[in-house]
Amino acid sequence: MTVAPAIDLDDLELDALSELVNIGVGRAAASLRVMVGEEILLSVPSVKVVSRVEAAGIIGGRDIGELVAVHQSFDGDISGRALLIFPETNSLELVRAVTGGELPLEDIIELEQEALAETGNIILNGCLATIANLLGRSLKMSLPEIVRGSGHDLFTLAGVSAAEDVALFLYIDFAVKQRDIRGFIAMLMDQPALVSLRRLLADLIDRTGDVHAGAL
Amino acid sequence: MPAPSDLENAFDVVDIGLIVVDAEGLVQAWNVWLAQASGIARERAVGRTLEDIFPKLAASRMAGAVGQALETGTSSILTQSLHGSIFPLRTRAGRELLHNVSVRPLPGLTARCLVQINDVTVAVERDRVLRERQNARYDAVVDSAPDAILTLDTKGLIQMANPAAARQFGYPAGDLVGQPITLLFQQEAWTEAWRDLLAGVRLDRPVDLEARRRDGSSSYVEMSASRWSSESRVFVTAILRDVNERRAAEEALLKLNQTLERRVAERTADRDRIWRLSTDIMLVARLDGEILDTNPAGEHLLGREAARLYNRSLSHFVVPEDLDTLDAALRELALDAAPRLFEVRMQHGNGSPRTVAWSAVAVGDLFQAVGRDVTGEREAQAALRQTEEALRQSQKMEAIGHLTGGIAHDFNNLLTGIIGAIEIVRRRLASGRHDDIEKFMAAAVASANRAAALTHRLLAFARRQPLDPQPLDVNGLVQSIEDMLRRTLGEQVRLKTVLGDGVWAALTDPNQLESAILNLAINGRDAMPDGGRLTIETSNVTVSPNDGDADDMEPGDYTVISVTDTGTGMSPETAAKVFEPFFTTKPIGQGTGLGLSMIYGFAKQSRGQVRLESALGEGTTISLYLPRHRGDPWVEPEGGARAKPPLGSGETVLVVEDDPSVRLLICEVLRDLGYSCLEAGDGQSALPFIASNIRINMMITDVGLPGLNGRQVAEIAREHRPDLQVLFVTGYAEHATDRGRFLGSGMQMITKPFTLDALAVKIREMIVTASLAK
Amino acid sequence: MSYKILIVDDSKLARMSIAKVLNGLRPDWIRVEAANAEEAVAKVRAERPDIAMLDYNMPGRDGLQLAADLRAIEPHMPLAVVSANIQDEIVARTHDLGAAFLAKPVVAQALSDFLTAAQARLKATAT
Repeated sequence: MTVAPAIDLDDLELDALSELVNIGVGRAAASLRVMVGEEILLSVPSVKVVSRVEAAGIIGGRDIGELVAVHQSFDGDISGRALLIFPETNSLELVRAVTGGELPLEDIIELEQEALAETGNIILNGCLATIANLLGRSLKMSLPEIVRGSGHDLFTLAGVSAAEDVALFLYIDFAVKQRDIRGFIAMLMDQPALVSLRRLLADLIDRTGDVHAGAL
Repeated sequence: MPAPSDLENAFDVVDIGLIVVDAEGLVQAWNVWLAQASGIARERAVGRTLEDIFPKLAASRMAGAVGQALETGTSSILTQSLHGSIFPLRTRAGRELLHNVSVRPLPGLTARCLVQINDVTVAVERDRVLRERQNARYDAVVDSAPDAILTLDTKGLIQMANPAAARQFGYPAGDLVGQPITLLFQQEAWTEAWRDLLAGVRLDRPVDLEARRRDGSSSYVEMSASRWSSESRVFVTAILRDVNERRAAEEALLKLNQTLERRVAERTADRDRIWRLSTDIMLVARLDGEILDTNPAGEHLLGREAARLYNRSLSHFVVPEDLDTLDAALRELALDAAPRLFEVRMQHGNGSPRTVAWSAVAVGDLFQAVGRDVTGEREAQAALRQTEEALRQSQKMEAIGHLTGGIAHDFNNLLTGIIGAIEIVRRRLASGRHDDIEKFMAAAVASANRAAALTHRLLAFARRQPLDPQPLDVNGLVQSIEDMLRRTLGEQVRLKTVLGDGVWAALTDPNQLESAILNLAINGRDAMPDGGRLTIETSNVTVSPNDGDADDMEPGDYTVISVTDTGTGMSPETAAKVFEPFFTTKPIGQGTGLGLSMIYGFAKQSRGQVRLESALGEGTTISLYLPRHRGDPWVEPEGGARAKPPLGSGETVLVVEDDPSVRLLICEVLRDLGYSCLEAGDGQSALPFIASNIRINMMITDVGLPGLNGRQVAEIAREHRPDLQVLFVTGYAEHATDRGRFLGSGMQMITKPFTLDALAVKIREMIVTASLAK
Repeated sequence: MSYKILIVDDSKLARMSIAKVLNGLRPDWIRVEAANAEEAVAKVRAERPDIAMLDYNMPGRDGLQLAADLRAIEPHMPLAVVSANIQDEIVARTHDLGAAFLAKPVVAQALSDFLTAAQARLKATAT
């Protein structure tokens, strides 16, 4: 586990969070694999808590040009946004993969919106739902929406309040083997949300740590 | 029941399908729209699970989505794009209802979720139509384009490749999609062009690129490409034209040019060498004869350096007598481009004329010529001709010598026979003895006939004696000369005749045939100095077109007379020459060497052939092929018992003949035959008779008369007496060959020597004809 | 009978989570933990555990690679690969190595099934 020096979460909390994300994305990968028909390779999750600007920089700095993202917001005990992000050039490949690979270019472009939205929906639901489940909470999630733009654009969406100047940047690299499809998931939360999250994580750790005595 | 609230009403009025599912997955609410679209009424749906109502739903994501919504509050969408038909729904019009589904958790005490079904049929349909139309247009162009067309995304991945591209680069149709363009292009030229394209720079000119095919080979293409965008997504479409052929042609041309330059240089060097070293004269001149250049050989011929020849006319160097030839050649050269050959004598530098054979060809307004000094050749040729001529002359003289010698020899014998026989007759008559005179007179006549035959032969050889082809019974003829043959052959040679059955009549001259057979017999005898056997055979032969021997004979039926001896035979060399005139193997004085060539001539004139077979030491067979006469042969009356000649009845005949003995003879014959006779010794003295009133039935005139010739006499006679029958007597067969031209109607000809019978018959014929005509 | 079981996962929480469930089923067993493949191999050599449970998604060598390594050392050791990433390929490769696959988060029933099978195996190979 790669853990960056946390501002608000301690090691264990970050560990816990990344494990939750790991499980969530793992489940999503299983769904995605069924849809894509080929093995999904997942990297180890990387969790950082950074400012939005930094987050934009991290993504933008990877020199991938324009991006397309599936956006879902969630509300409840914690609220925020989840983004499944692809380089624009990859998203078509993903659509081609999930639609069976035989469609001509124009059709893929036509279907991209819907197919990408649903695919993103599956992945993000897998992630978020799992996290929510393990934290013992329920989250109200929106339906997916496609957004395009640079890293900067994605992390400065209209309607986002200034209070959301912190990003919990969970980065999992996933790739479809044999195809050039790469993407990552980012979650954006504001400070209050982050605080709630911390509390939830602490609860989880406590629950799990009950029997930890006796382990080597 | 309480009245439905607005919200409850709204539930059944909305234009979307709504389902409420409880925590166990059972349907709690089912709106009217959905009932209509699914054909399942509310009553039948409530209380069941969705999988129960729609069995096929189990395989889709629906259950999971509902479960997730109920358990973790996730919201899901299921799109028509990915799933096709999630629920089996129909529009009011009965068409398939295309829909998207969203699943949302419903807030409340118990977990429930709401399933919404949105009708997207119209939108999808519209999109589909639009897309199809676009695709159709696009596909029509792209799929059928002969050039490779590729669409790339900004990362250089191939998003679309048309069939031509698959063919061009050797990949199966689908394999190129998703591949990086660098699979095909790796060079500098590509990277530069790509950079420009992405930056939006227009490519003004097509870019030449080398592509790598699947099999590793290179394909040269010319690329036109441009950038375009669709919904902020950028693409580059490139059209790649196959220029392999053009390139190959360019390379070939380049190579050719390189070798061409080299070859031109080589050829120039060669040409210079040839020009300098040739012993033939090479000349370049204008078409009017003005010399522009000549090689060293030319300088030598004309006795001047090329520079000093410049602008001098060629005609200056040609001897005056040959200027016309030169002018004619120059004129022809000016007309067309074919090479011209001409020969002129030219003034050599040192004065003596040389004969030069030129080959010239016009090139534009000049001509180039190559000339060879053939003076020596011509002189040699002339000398040869003279020598040949002299030889021929001497040969002729020699032959004539032989000929006259031989003929004289033969004639001597015959005359001796004639004179001798007549002497004996005179003595017998003087002594009153009449027995045997018939025998001797017959002998004299026979010898005279032999002499006549001899002259026939000679004249025939000289082609002056026309043939008189008649239908002839060949067997009969052979039989009739058998006696004579036996006497000629002598004691040592045995004669055998093998006369075939049913031998066809031949169409030929009987006299000629007789002398031919006689000649052959004599040759055969001479080839058997120690005796032997001579066989004369007659047979029928049919020559078909496929016969190997028949290349100089017309196919058809032939009567063949063969004479075979058992003599010395001939070598092949001799056999080849044996029909040549003057060729003889006999010593001088014996034979003329004319016999076989005359026989050959006779056979050919008869439209037949002669064939020779011989083997040294064994003998020779000579076969005469004579065309078959179709019809009955003219059979001569039995020899010996000659029919009496037809008698006249006092008709008057005018005889014009300068030779007194002949004239005497003719008149005697006429009187014997019962005609009366008028005589004239030449044309002049005949005229008074002609001009007079004396009745003249017929005129017999020699053709060759002193002064007025027989023909002229006849013409004059015809003026006075248009119906006068004229019989020409001639020994000059050139007149005879012009028989047709010479003779008019009522005119006939008889050649000397003739038998008295023949004369009598002719005269009778003509007089009868004349009297009938009256 | 008390066995020694090795739990390998880079996430402490995950190790805690498995330990919790394990404790409910086999309180008397001895637990050994490792945070990555290197540590795991070392612990196997040093501690000689009887059974091992390996997280799939780890930095460095992943769970399957580790499983292969352990197989080389201990051919008969019952192994389980644990992951939320239930993809056919991963499950298949797990089974190829003669290991069990458990979904994350690990639930009692699944773990119980695995442990029972593992014990049976150990008894069989011990004789």
